[in-house]
Order: sequence, then structure tokens, then C-alpha cells
Amino acid sequence: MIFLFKTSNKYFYLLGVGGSCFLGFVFLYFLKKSYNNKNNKFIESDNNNKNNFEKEEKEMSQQLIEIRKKINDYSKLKYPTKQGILFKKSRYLKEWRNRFFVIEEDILYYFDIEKGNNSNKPIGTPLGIFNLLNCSFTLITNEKRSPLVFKIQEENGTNKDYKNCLISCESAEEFNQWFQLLPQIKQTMDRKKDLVIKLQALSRKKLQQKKYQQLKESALTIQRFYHLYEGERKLARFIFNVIKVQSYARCFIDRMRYKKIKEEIMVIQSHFQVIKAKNRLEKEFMRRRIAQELLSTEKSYVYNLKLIIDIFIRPLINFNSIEQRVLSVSEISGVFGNWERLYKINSDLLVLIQCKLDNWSIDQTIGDLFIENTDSLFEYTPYVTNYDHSRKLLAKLTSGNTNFRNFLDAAQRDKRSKYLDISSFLIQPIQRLPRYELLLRDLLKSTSTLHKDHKYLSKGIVKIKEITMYVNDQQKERENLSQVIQIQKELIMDNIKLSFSSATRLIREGEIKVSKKKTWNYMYLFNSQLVIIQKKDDKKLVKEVIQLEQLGIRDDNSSSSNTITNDSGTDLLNNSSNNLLLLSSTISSPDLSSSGTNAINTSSQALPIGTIGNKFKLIISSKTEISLYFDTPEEKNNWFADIAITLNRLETQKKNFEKSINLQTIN
Amino acid sequence: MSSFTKNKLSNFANTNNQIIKIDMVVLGSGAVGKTALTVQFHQQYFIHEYDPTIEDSYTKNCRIDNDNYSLNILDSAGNEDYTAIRDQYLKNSDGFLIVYDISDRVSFEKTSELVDQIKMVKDVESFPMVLIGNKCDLDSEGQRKVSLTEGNDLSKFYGCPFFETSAKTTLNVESSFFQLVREIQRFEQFEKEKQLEREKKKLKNLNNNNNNNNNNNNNNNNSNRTNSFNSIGRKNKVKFDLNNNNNNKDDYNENNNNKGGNDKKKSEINNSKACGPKKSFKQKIFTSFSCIHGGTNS
Repeated sequence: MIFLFKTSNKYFYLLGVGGSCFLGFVFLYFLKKSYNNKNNKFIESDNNNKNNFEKEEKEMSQQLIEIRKKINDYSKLKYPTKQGILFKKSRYLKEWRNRFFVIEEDILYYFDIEKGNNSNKPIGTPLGIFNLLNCSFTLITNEKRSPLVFKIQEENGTNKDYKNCLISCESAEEFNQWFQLLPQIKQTMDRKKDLVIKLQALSRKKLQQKKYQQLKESALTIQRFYHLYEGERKLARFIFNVIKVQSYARCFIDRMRYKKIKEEIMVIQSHFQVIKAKNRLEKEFMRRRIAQELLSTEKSYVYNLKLIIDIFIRPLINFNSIEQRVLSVSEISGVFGNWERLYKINSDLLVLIQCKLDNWSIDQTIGDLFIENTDSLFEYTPYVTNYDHSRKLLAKLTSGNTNFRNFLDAAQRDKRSKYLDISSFLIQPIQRLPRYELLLRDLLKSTSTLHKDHKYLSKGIVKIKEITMYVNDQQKERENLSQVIQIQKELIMDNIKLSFSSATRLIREGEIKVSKKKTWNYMYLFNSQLVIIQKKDDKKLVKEVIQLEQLGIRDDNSSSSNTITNDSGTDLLNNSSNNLLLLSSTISSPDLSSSGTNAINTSSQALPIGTIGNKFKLIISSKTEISLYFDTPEEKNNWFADIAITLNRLETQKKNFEKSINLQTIN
Repeated sequence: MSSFTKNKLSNFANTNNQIIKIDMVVLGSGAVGKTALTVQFHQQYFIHEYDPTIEDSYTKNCRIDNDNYSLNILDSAGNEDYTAIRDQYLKNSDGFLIVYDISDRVSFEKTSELVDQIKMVKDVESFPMVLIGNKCDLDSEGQRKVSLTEGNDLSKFYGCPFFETSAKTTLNVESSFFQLVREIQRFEQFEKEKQLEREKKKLKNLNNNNNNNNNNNNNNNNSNRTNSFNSIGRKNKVKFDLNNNNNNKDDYNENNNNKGGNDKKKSEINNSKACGPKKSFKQKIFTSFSCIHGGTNS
């Protein structure tokens, strides 16, 4: 009560002075209200909504407390919509007091006003707060100040005083403003809510639209990508199909090609087999032809042998009288040799060859015939060795004997002789033996190695080769022997003995000088001795015989006065060759053959240097020497080489002989 | 040989209606085509495959330079390894066809050996000869091993004609045989001239025999020496003999003609003069070795 007195205005001061009844009236009023509220509580608790109510109350109170704590001053209300001084009736004293009312957004605040002069400033924290969204507004006609009084009451009203209050204004205009404004605020707030809702919806729509657009864009991109992918996919599919088709085609083509290749391979193989068979047939054909050639050449050969007997030999032998005889028996045998014997040998051979070819087959052999039946061909040797004599005798007879020449001309005109003269017929046995080897070699070439005849032909060729080589060697020996015998007949030996053996061979002969001033002499080099002869009148006198076993040769260019002066190098070469040849003259010195060949090589190397001279010396013993002079340096070199080679060969023969003696002694 | 030469000379003199007989031999190493060449000349076909009835001797009458010739051709096939048997061929013939294969180097190198062998057997400085390089159709196939200049050089060295032939394509076959005939005729004419010179020398010697003075003898010896020196430059060298008496010289010449062996060795001496020093020495060693080899076999 004191508090109320202190804070009241002039108006309230005048009323207070009047009496304490007024105070008591106010007190009762407040008691009624509190009682009504309590009654309401009990009624509601009876309806079993007590718990809910309490919870709501607590929540509301807490919220308002928080708001009050935040708003400590009027300065914090920054954006008020409406404010002014209004009259508010107090609850307990029932007095109309001035209060400062402020509306901000949806909340109504009222403050205390300063005492003082006409200042309208609010003071301190708000005395009361109303949430206008939960309030209702009603006109009240019972009060003094009506009709300018209205009541603000929250929908969830409580017993507290600040939840229900009466407000009055000084003027009707102000009253209208406030009374109309408060519901408008509510409406605006409701509209705001609606707007908010709409805005939210719009925003939601926008978001949806954005999402939709994004989705659309993404869909477009996806679609575009899909299209690209579709294009690529189609292309890939197309390519795949093409590749597939190509692969199929390639497989097909490969198969076809493989078939063709296989067919070609088959054709080639068959062709190869045909070629193989053809080669075999050709080889057999060639073999048969060569065998037939062997037969035909043997036939013609035997025919010619018989022809000579019929045309030449028998007419010459079978002349009736001695006067008409053209040639003697010795002359006939001298010219024709053992012709009849050759005819018999080859006619027998022809019969054998004919039998082979009459029974010809693939497995027929010919080589065995030549292995077994050709030993008789050795009898060609006397004919071949006699041929040279025969040729000379024929030449002599045709030149000397007129009847024989006429006989030959008449014989040559015979049709059977094919216009060949007798010398052509006489040469045929000499040609026949090498021809056998030629034919058999060709036959061997046409015979396969698996054939039975291949071995026989190889042996047959060896046999024929032996026979022909034997005949060849006999001919060589005969020629050498006749040569030596002819020389021996011409020589005359008075004081010196000269003996020739069957192994003597003439190597070289020529004119020499023993000294510069003397006349030319003649010298023979045999394989074992050296003979110097002198010619007087019609005879050849043997002057000196030198055995080669004890001989040495030396070439001294410096001692010769006719030699051209040479460099010292050539002298060294000649000196070395001299030393080597001196060594070769002694019997017991080792490595003779190699030193001899070295000597020959060094002397051959010396040739292109220049002219050496036309003289060299024969060393017969340690005391005696003979100088030999020649016509030209080339001739001297040739004689030197021949003598050196002969000496070398004698040394090798002697070595071999000594070795054989040693082997015999050991055995 | 001299008798044959005389016969041929007489035939050469009487060339009106007579047929001149000539013997020739086809020589060469193995498988150079001797038989194919001979058959091509004789029968005008090439032996492609193996052909039967190959003869040893072939006779063909032909007309060369307005003269009638009877050619007797001897084919020496198959006897390359038998030198003594081959010598029988060489003695019997007037001219030689030396054949080598242009695709075989060895056959060309053996040609020199073969020519030396012929000189030894015939005992003459030179003889009628034609060098033939066969199988020249292989040149187009790129198988040539012996060039044309080598063949030409060798033929100039021996002083004989040279042909490159092909028995397959009949190139130079007939002309090579005909050229050999011409060579033989030229050789016989040369021999005839040679005999005339010998007769002249005999007449001179008879005149010189009348003078028996020592000075004249010395002069005669010197003149003989100068004659021998003059004859060195000629192709066929006259064999010289220095004796005290001219009568001995005549006898010595006759003896030389009768002896074949002596003439062989002298022909070697003369051959060495004609050749260069290198070749002569090497060939001489080679021939000596071959002689020794022959000796050892015997």
C-alpha cells in the first residue's frame, strides 16, 4: 500500500486522501479474482487435464521469463510499430494509472513512466507482456471511463495479473486507433504467417523447380550422354557387327584358302610323286640306253676287228704264190700285232654283253660281267707296246713298197671300211680300253645306290682302271727302254766301261763344253749316271762316266769371269744354295730331301733377279772338279735343276733301301 | 713323220682332182665337250641327252678354199688319265684341236701342260694347232670362269688361232675345224720352204769343203756360229752342230733325224729358249717331277 502511494500520480493521490474504503474495495476485488481462478483450477483438475495445464503453464512462464530477462530496457526495442501513454486499471486498488505501451511485432509491452515534468519516457523493465497472437480484445461498458475501455485477455489465461488487464484512452480517436490496431496486428501476423507459409511453399516450389531443372538438366545431359553413348554404342555395335561379319568372312576365306592350299599341297605332293616316279623311270631308261650303247659300240668294234682280218690280214697271208706276196709274215705280224687274239677276246665279251641285254630287266646287272671276264684284256698290252713300231713300219712299207700301197688303196675303196684308212683302224684298240671306263662310269651315274649293280659297277670300274693303267705303264717302260737301247747302240767305249741296267732312264741330253776354249761336246743324264761323250768322225766316244751317287754340284758366280756383277744379296743366295748342295752330296747327312728342295727353291728364287751365268761345277771328289759351260743361262739352269732333282731322288731311294734292310734285320 | 709330210706335200702339189687327207685329234681334259664338238661338226646335232653309238673316228669330206679335203677326226674322250696311251694319238695326227671349258678353270690351266706334252712327243718347235674355248653359251648364264682376253693371250703365246665355240648353239664349230685345216696347209708349206733352205745350205757346205786351209776352217766355224745365231730369232730354230769337219756335220744331222729320243730332249732345250725364264724353269721342274714319277712307277 505504501508502495502504491509512492508511485501514484496526482490523480491517484487525490483519491487516496479520500478514505481507506477505497483500499479495502480494491483488496476484495483482488480476492474474488484469485478465488475464481482457484475454482477454475479445481474444475479443470476434475476433468483430469491438470498435468497438461501445468506443463503448458511452465512452458509459457519460462518463455516469458526469458523474454523479460533479455529486454532490460526500452532502448532494446528498436522497431516498434506503435507506442504511447494509455490508462491501465490496477488490479488491487482499482485505480486508473498512466502506463507507457509499446507494440513490437506481435508482443505488447508496458512500462512505468517517470515522475516529473511532461516527460514521456519509459523506465526500467517492462511491467507486463502480452503475446498478442494469443490474446482477445473485448469492449467493456461497465467502467467509468467507458465507452473508451477495452479488455485484453490471453486465450490461455491464468490467475496472474499481467495476463488480464483493462486499458483506456483519453480520446476517442486514440481509442479507435489502439482498438482497431490490435486485431489488425493479429491479422497482419496471421497474414504474415500465411505469407511465410506461402513463401515457404514458394521456396519449396522454387526448390522443387530448381531440383526439377537440375534434374531436367541432368536428364538432358544424361539424355545427351545417352544419345552420345547411343551413337557410340550403335557405332560400336556396328563395328562389332562388322568385325563379326569380317571375322566370319575371314574364317570363311581362311577356310577356303586353307582348302586351296591343302589342295595345292595335295597337287604338289602328287606331282612330286609323279616326278619321283618319272625320275626313277628316266634313270632306268638312261641306264638301259647306256647299256645299249655299250652293246652297240662293242658290236661296231668287233665288226671293225673282223673287217681288218677279212680285208687286210687274210688276203695278205693267203696269196697263192710267193711272187705275188706283198708282205712277209714277220712284216704282217709287225704291223698288226696280235690282232686276231684281240678279235677273239672281244667277240667272247660281245656274246656275254648280248646275253645280258637280251634278258634285260630292272634288276639286271652288268658290272659282274666286267669283274669276272675282263682278265683277258691284259693281252692288249703287247698290241699297245707294239703300236709305235707298227706305225713306223707301216710308214716305211707304204713309202717303199708299191704293191702294198696299191693294195691299201684298193682295200680303202671297199664300202665296208667307211672310207677310213688303215691307221684309223689300227688306233681303235688303243682307244677302246679308256672308253670302257667312260661307259661304265656313265652307267654307274645312272644307277641308284640301292641297286644291286651299283656295287658291281664300282668294282668293275676299278678293275678296268687297273688294266688300263697297267697297259699305260708298260707302254711308258717300253718307250724308255727303247730310248736307252738306241743310245747304247750309238756309243763306243774304248777304255771306260759303261753298263746299263733295265731300270736305266734317260732324263736329259744336250751340248756342253768342258772348258771355254775347247769344242762342244755332248752329255747324257741318266737316272744313275752322267755320261760325257766326244764326237770324232762318224763315232761317239765315251770320254767320261760320272756316277751320281758321289756327285756334288756348285754354282760359283764370283769365280766366273763372264758373269755380270750382281748385288751382295744374290751372292748370299747363291752361297746358301752352294752350301745346301754341298751337304746334299754326302751320304750320312740328315734331312737331305728337305735341304734339296730348299736348294731348288732358292735357286728358283734367284732366277728373276738377273742373269747368273752359263757355268756350274761338278764336284766329283774332294780334289777333282769339272766346270760345265752351256750356251745360255736358261739351259744351264735347266740342267742344274734336273741334276739336283736326280740327286735328291737317289738319296731318298737309298734311305728307303736302308730302312727296308733294317726292317729285315729286325724281323 | 717325215714320210707323212712328204706324202702330204705331194698331195698338196697335186690339188686339182685329188682329195687331201688330214688327220686331226680333239684333245682336252675331261668333260669339256670334245665328243659333243666332234659330233656337232660331223653330224650337225647337239648331244642333249645321252646318245648311243659314239664312234672313235669320224671321216668327213668337205671343200675348203677350192680344195677337197678328207678330214679324219679322232676323238680322245675317256683317256685323260693315261698319258702313254694318249701319246699314241699324238704321234698319229697332223693337227690338234686343244679344247678347254670356259666354265672350268682347271681345264684351262691343263691346256699348257697338254701343249708341252704335244711338243715333246712331236719333237717340233711348233705344230698346227687351234685353241678352243667351248661351252660359251654358258656365258649368258653367268658361269664364265675364263675370260676372253686370257684365251687370246694364251693363243698369241702359242702362235695359234683362238675360237670360243658352243657345240649347243653351233657357234664357231665349223670355222674352228676349217681354220685348223688352213693351219695344217700353212705348216706344210712352211716345211716345204724349210727343205729348200736345207738344200741351199748343203750346196754351200759342198763349196766350202773345197777349201781345206786352217784359216778357212776357222772362218767356216765362225760363219756356222753366226748362222746359228741368226737362226735364233726365227720361229723354228735350226739345230746347230760345231764339228771340225763339215762331213761330220751332215752325218750328225742324219743321225739326229733317225733318233727320236735325242730330238725329244733337244726340243726341250729349244722350248726353254722360246719361253720366258720363269715359266721355263717352273715347267721344267714340273716335267722333271712328272718324269721321275713315271720312272718310279716303272
